[in-house]
Amino acid sequence: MSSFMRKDALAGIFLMAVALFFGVAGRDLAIGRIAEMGPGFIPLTLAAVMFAIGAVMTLTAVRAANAPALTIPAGAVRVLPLIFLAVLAFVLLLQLLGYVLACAAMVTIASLASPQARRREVAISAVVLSVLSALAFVTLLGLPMPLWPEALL
Amino acid sequence: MSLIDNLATGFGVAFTVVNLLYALLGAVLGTLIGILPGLGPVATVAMLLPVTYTLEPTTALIMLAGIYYGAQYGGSTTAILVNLPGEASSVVTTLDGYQMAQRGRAGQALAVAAYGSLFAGIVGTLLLAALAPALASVAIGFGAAEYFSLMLLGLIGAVALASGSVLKAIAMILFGLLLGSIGTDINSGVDRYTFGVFELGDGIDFVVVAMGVFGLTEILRNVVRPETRDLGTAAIGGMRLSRDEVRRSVPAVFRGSALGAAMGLLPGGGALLSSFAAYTIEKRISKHPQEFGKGAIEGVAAPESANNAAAQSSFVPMLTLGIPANATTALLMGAMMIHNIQPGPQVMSSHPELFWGLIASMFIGNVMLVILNLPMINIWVKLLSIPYRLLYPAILVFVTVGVFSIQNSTFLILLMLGFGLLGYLLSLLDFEPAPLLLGFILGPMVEDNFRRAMLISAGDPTTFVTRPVSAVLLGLAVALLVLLAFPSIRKSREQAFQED
Repeated sequence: MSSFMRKDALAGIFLMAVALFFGVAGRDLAIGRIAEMGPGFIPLTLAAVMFAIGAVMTLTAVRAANAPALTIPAGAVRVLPLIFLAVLAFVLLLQLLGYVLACAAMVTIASLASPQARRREVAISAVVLSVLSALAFVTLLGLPMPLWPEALL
Repeated sequence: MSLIDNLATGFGVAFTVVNLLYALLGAVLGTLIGILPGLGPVATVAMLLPVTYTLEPTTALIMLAGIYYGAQYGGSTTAILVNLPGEASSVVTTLDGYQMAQRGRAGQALAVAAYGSLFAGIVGTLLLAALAPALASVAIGFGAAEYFSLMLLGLIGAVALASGSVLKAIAMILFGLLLGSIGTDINSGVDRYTFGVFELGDGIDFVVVAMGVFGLTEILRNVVRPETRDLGTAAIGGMRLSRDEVRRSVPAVFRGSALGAAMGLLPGGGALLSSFAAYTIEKRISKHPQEFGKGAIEGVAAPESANNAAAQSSFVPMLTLGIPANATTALLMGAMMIHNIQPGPQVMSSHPELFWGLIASMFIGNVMLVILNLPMINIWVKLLSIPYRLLYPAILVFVTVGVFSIQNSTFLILLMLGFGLLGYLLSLLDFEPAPLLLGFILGPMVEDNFRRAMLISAGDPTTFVTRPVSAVLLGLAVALLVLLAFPSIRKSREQAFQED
């Protein structure tokens, strides 16, 4: 195992990456003087400190005799893509097919993420959840979302 | 006005039909999510925030607060009957609560948890009512320097009380502060980190962050972890406490309430930590420590009292100083800002009906909760038979639509997905999300006060130590940081978090 795959080494690298992002994306922000700080003063200072913490963390972890490695739970490979896909499907289908069908699609895809998913249960919860939430959010609370596909109206 | 007059005003507000109904709704929802493992008060309050846009601010806060302390009641039920914490702050209750249930005394465990919580809730609320005006009158004279030092103390307190690595907690606060700087800079009007995206102009809505790193991440973590829930619940049986049980639990309830009420005041404190501390103390001072872990009633009475007392008293720093003690009160503070009420010492005088109405509603809510939890316990237990695989798609719908409703924009849903992924990544790397949320919410205020203090003092940083109140607060923050660096303290702190 490379000592950079240790959990804390990766945590440090992650912090440095975030800090670098805020540093680079904010490079054009004016720093100003301490008495009259520009918009960049605080974020760039914070990013610098964060980068230093990340560097210390990585170095400590790499040089330590032994440190726990990062373990990604086996289920994550199935669960994460499916749940993200479910929400993305909702976003993409909302205007096209309306709330009821978009929500049913989201519930169906998300339900399949669970290893214990059963076909009948998934179908029932897709129908029940999309109809009930449509009544609650669109009909009662009046959120501006189309209920059904435009072509049908 | 005296305390009695103030409380009378408060009860006048809380006893209107609408507010009573929403207090009840909050208590019911709190019990519900408390009982269901995998759904916590932070995610629930975040989900319901958009729904409360249309309510009166007082009514909205009454309901949202009810969810927080209601969850403390519900959590114990699952802990005792199924040996799973329904709520993070009920983790220690599983130790002796479930053992009591195994010995046929589930009813007594539930009863002592509910009565203990009621007593503690009243103590915590009384403390809030008594302490808040005094604290607010001190804070009203605070200038920018004092506010900055106070917030720094709060943030460092959150580090001290977070579990795990100190360095990681500090890094999460910095990350939160950086995320908080996204949006238009109020002093110069310059856009920061918006990349020309219109929706980011006002900064990221904190509901999006909270729903992502708490709501969505929780779903991901729970679904990834294979379902281990054992659906067999213990039989409840009678609830009458024996004379011996009363004799043993009364002092434990007193100690737990006092400890919880005190710890709730600390930044980063609140329900979770105080229940751990209360259990440890009970075990240490008990005459029969060997009974702990085998169904000692003190092991249920003390932590359940402590977590509810802390849930109430953690409102003190939020309502009087405008500084949230933990993630849930941070969200409630956000709810006040949504309704254009700037949290801080002036709330009590500018919105007395909100302040005292909320406090009065806590007395009412706690009584409602005992009624909801004891005679109606069997209805709640049925909920435990709902498997998580049916529950999480419903939570996902709620989270997604809730985020949409903030600005009626699907862009925020995508942003929330990003924060969900971030939250999951953070949990893999052992970072805690609570300091991030705290930093994110306090970020703009910290920056604003720091810049103003520097502007007033013409760039002289000694202003923070030459102003006495600021110096004291800063001294406390430094002392806390030094303490954390001491190896012996670090060790005992790590042990305290490992004792679960």
